[in-house]
Amino acid sequence: MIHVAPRILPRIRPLCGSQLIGIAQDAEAQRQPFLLLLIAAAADELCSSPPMASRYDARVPSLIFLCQRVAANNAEAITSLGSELSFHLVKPILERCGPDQLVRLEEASPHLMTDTPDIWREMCFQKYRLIAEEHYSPSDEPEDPDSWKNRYFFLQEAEIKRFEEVGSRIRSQRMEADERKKEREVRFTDRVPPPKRSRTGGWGGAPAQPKTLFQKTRTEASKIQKAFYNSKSIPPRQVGKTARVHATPDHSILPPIPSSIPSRVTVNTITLPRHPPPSGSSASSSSPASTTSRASPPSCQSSSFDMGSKVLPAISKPRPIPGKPAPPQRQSTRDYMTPLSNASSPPPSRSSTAPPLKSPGPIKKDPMASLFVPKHRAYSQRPHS
Amino acid sequence: MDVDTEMQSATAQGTEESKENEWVRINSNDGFSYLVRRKVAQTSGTMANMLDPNGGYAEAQTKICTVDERGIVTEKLVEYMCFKSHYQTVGPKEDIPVQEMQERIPPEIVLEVLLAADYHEM
Repeated sequence: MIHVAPRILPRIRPLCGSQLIGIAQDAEAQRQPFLLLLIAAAADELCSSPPMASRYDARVPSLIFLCQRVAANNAEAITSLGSELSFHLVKPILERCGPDQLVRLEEASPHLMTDTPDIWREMCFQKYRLIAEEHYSPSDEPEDPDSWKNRYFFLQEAEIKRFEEVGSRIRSQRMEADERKKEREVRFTDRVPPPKRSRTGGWGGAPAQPKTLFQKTRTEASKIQKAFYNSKSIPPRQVGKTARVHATPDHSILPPIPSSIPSRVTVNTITLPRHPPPSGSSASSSSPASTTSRASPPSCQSSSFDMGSKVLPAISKPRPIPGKPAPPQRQSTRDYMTPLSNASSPPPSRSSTAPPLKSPGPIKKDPMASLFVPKHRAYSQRPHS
Repeated sequence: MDVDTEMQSATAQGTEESKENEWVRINSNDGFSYLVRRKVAQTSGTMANMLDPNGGYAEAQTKICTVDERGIVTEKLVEYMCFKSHYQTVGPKEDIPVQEMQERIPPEIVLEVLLAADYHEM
């Protein structure tokens, strides 16, 4: 029993503020020293918290309070709390620990374990609020083996799993988007991609055998003629001037001569024995088929021209007799012309003694001539007249 | 007679005040010793009781308190006692440098100081 003289009493104050201090200052209490001491001790026990209003001590915090503050600030550096510190002293420190640190301190000071479930519960709800509220309620008091501590780690694993799921989903979405983008980008390659569609319906693919030069030029010639017929910008041409022979006789661009024009050809052809030119066969083979563009060669010929050489094969062939009557003097020419032009398109010629052809070269199949003569008259830079 | 009681009460008061200004000794368990005014020592509830002549403790006669802590911890306790006893009586307009006091507690000994502070009721 501690007996304290009343006069010393006012000097002794609880070191931290609390409502009990008010009682201590009461004059009545001063006459009951034992009671005062009990109150003071109790006040000390209870309040290691920041001081509240009191006469002297409110503004000066207790050493316990300061030490708790310092220790809590350095909680991660604490390895053990020992066996002497009671829970209420270290509670502020434990509240500031992470879960791993808390486990370590618990193991070092087992006497604290009886009081830590509250801390674990707070941790559960602070860190994993959403899931925790789904599963547990705060007022639970779980028993072993279930405990707030175990629940905390269970929640931690659940959270990690959820993050991984979401992460993988995002990753796969992003990779799909990347792949789609890659497909559309331009790439270097040396392989020809498969053709999108066949060229036209009805063509089975590559032709059975490559088209000969002759066939190619014929198709091209027909294309050109179509273009000319369809275009209105081409002025009418004098046939005489356009009477032109190219090196390859098939490359003629003249419009077809209607067969109604009477022939006024008065060419006297003298056939000369000459070896048939290589193109003669082509000329002869083209004669039954071509109806249009062969008009120029037979016109305005003189014996000195190579056209004569073309006559030979013509004469050697059987001659179909044209339906049209022809004067005898023209018989030779007629005969001459018929095999060539199928008796349907003798070229109209303005003069018997035609002026020299504008392009003697091509008759000789001079390849040089074609250098200066554009393939298509449309692209020629010569004046259109 | 009246004068006698007056003088007695005056002496009593003087004694009390002079007692407050007495030096008392605080010893650590590893040989360190600190001299403080009684007033300062009474910041600690435990020490105040030990030094109280009306209590039954031997320390009241010798005016020596022994603290069962190392010197460095004891010194921190004394430091705090001085700090508190000084700022306890200061007016409301003045600021108390609590943060400074807190910074003067090194984390390496904070747990020991905490334990000692709890025991000595400070």
